[in-house]
Amino acid sequence: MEDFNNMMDNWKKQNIPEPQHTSQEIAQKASIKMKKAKNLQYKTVYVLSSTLLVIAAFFIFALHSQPTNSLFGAGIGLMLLMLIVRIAIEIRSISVIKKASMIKDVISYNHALVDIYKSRKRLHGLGTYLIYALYVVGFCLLMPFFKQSLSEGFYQYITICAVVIFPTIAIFIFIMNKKELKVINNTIKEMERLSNGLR
Amino acid sequence: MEEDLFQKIYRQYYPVVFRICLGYVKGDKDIAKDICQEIFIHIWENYDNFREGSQVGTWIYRITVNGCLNEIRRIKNYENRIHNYETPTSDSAEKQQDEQQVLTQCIGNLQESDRIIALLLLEGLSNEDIAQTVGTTNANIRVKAHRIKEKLREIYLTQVSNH
Repeated sequence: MEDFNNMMDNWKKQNIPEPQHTSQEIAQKASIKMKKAKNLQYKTVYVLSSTLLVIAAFFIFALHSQPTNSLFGAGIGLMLLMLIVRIAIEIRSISVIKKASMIKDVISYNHALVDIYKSRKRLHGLGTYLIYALYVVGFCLLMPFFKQSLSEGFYQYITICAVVIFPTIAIFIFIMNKKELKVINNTIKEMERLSNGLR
Repeated sequence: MEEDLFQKIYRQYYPVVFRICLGYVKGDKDIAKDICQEIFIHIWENYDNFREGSQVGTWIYRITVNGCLNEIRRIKNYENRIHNYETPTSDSAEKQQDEQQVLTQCIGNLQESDRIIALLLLEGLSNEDIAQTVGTTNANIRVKAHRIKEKLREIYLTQVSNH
């Protein structure tokens, strides 16, 4: 093993370049990054919650201003329920990500990351399509209400927008999901290979 | 984390963290610098989770190895750059520097799991410390360490004779 000891000596004698930043600068960067990361994590939750509030406000407004029926209630209920499910999934994802702490040993950390990717895989697989489809169904159930309570022109406008926007979003979700699933599958394979190699 | 303590850790561990990053990215110093910086940001972020019972060294090695794996997977551009990176050759380079470059290339030729253990071995960590960093048993590391040292030695001797 004398050769290895020589290699070790050689390895440690390397010239180390000066750090790009001082420790104070690193600490500052870390604080900014932590704030940004927190905002980014909750960004989707904020957007979804705002949508939820808008729909809930619309529901309350419609109840008081127009005659409504059970179809209307079912439509709004379905849309609200899907948004609540989506928010719950996002919050759960955040808590799962927080569990994957870098101070864990390499195998445990890898295992935690594989769990995150697997849960994302499940979400991107069927979950997203199901939630989106039920949300659209909820919207469609509201169409008779829109026809009855809105002007002809505005009703036409909403119908055309829905016909264009919903399929466009569906195609966008499909393309993004396909891309992300490919990355997730490759990453899971790499990580499992690494964990098996270390065990 | 108190800044004084962080400054001490930064000064003491920067060379170690940099060398591990360098070995991990097959000698590309620019990427190693970037990853090294990210790792110290993670060290700062995670200090509140540091348990007094465990050693600072093990804690830093864990963050370093996990950080390297994470950063390379997160920034896909790194993977391509590392893959296409060629160690600069220089006729005037000193023998020692040349050997260090060969050694970095040899580490790069190892499998990812072996590379992690090889880098920790080159830093002079005991089998027990490596086992704690990786999350496996001492006995397992002992067997692997023996095999990896042999493998690295073989690759190194082949590379040196070809150089």
